Amino acid sequence: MSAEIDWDDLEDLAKQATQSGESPGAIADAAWEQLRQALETLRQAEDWSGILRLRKLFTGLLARDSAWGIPVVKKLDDIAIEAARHLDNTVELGHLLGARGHNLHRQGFHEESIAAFAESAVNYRECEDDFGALKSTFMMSLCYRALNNRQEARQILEDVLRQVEPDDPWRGNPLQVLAWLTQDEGDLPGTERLLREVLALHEQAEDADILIAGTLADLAEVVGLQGRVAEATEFFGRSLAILQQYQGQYDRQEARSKLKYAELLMRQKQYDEALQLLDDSDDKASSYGHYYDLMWRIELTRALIFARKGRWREAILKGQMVLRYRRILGLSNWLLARQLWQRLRAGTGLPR
Amino acid sequence: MKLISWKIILRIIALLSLLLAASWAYFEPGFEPVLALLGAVATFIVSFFVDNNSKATTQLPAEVTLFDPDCGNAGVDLADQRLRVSAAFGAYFTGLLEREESYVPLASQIECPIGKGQEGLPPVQRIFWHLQNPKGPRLFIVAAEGGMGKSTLAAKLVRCLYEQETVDMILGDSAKSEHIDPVSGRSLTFAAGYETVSGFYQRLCAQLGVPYESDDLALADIRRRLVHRRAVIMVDNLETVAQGDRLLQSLLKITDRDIRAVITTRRASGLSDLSRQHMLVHLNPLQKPEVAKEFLYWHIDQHSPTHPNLYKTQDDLDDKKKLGWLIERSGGVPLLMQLLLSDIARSSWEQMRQLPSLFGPQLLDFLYASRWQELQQLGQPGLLARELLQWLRQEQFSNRRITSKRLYEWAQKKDQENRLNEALTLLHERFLIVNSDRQKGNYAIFPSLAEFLHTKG
Repeated sequence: MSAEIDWDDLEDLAKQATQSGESPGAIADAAWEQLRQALETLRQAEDWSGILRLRKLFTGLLARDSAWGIPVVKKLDDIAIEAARHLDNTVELGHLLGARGHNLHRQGFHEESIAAFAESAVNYRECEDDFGALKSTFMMSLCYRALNNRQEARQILEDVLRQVEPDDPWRGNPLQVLAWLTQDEGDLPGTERLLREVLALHEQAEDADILIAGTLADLAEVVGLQGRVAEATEFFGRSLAILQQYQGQYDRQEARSKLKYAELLMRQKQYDEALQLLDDSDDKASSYGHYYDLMWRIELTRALIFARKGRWREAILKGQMVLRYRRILGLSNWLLARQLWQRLRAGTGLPR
Repeated sequence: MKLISWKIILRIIALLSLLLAASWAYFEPGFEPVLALLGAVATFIVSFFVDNNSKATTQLPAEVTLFDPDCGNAGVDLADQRLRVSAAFGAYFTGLLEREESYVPLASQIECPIGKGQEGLPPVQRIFWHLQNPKGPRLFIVAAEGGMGKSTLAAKLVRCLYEQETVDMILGDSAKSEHIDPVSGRSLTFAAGYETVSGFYQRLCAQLGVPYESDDLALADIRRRLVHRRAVIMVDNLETVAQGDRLLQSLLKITDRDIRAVITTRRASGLSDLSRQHMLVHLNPLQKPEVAKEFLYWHIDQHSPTHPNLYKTQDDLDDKKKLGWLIERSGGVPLLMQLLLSDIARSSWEQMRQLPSLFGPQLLDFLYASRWQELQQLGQPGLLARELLQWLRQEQFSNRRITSKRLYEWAQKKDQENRLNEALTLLHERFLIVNSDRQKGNYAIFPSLAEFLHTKG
């Protein structure tokens, strides 16, 4: 059964929402109505293949950065998973649940993200897509780290790394998370060494600009924490220059790089410049994606800057906002206090 | 000091000294009268010097400007601005922010209170002053009937704040928006975008990236999120604003020295003109002939490239009777004046005098309805023009820029590209469409027309 859908118009919308220089956030609510209508029509007609086709049109949008701040895009994702279940399409289920896991993780819903990745891995294994399963399993390590279960995260990474050839560029991904864990432990030179290895691997991979931009920001942070400010600034510049080429499509990455840069400026006591960067970062993180996981960190950095400037009222208000975001995400505030104390003492940056 | 300046005082002294020297010389000639004479001459000379350097006698210019009068005239390139600007203002207001030279300053149109020390400042300058004064009012309410240019003035204010880098964030929305039935896809009504305070909070929460849970929590979240930000909250097209309104009270809780709100409304009641909390700005009809003439000249200048016959009306505007008739029939409402002048350019003053006795919104509705009917009688180009208007309404609401290229593609899909120019001419001649970019095209229709078209399906 095929419902009447204007696929050309929907393709145009998908193209507009996913092209560089444009931003999904710049599309008015009314323009998303046609997607909402098409989805409703297909669902009422129980046209599950049609729904999967519709979801595929917006793969770019859902894969690059989460667009869950736009309700209909999230709904499309939900219904597409429902459609794949109806069709018992394990390949699609593996893929869609994996994408869902990514988006949940990006927003900061790590528990839910682990569940989605676990189910995705099961489906990939069922259709004998071992690499797909490996990727979903690997992603669980990021979530465990965010939930402070670093032992589990490390365990997963070691298992994953054993299954990847040493010259496989994809190896850069698990190595990067391993670098973060090393940073958490306070070993900054070890982290830098790993990140340089990661960068070299990403540079060998195809279409890896965004991975490179992310790694450069990590490297900049670690180099900056070791006191090499000029080198760190250069890395941040390179990271942001890459992201500039994809303006509008990787707002979360841009927000992340700017946040790390602002932390460096804060340590250099350049508070006003840091606050300006945090405003830019906030604008990116709070627009169409609603990346709460980044936003509590942005607010935390602001709170610390205001406290250092002696602006206590603003520091308290921003501190309250940090707690509010963490409550939304179901993250422990006691854990935050502990991490803040440990990381500031060790000089390894702000909590992650 | 204005009436008797130092110059006059010194000259009186010089004159008295001269008289004293003369009488002294008459009764007792000698060296002393000569000294008195020299003193009189010296005082007279000093009076010139004092006159040239005295601050007390400096004349104030007739009109003081603190801010560049052109501030806010240039359009804002939304592509370079915050994402939330274009995403939130779905309808007409986004177009106003983008459009160049959409505002024409007219004497006595804006009526706003004069604060202490603001004597001599024109109304727009007074508003800018208050907007940028940290201790000034926090809510700016622009009240007037439809077609008076409320949104145009609000857009100028917002654009100027952006230009001056006084704000780095535009929040809010148009209060009136079209709702679309998700099942049928049909446009349902022009209901308020946020009829309730909760709706308003939800909109702001979404723009600030924080989930809405309850009104109290939302208010706290919005205030915390706006710490250290400089923002203007735009509330466009609110039907009524009254003292004690929950929305107004909420805005007062959110706004502060760095956060201002600009509200446009048809009616404001129970509010004083100026307080520490708000400033009420009224837009007056253009009743004075010289002001109306200035506005109509501007209209002719702006729109004659697309409607050349408008030039023919230029000389008629010197005829007091004709101008008086136009002011009377339009009630001084700028949009009605523009529509009537376009009709005069297409027909004649005599024909226009046969208009039925309608005024205000009824006249506006009549003018739109007669144009709509007329287009139907103009064959294929007229029918295409009607279709084009409906398409423009949808596209404008969807916040898509309507360029010449997109218009052509639309017509091409309908196999009507040959008739497109003819259809556009029909619309321009009837002032149903405006194009603010003559190179690439940036077409728009007025909200009142969109509302009318909505009733026509």
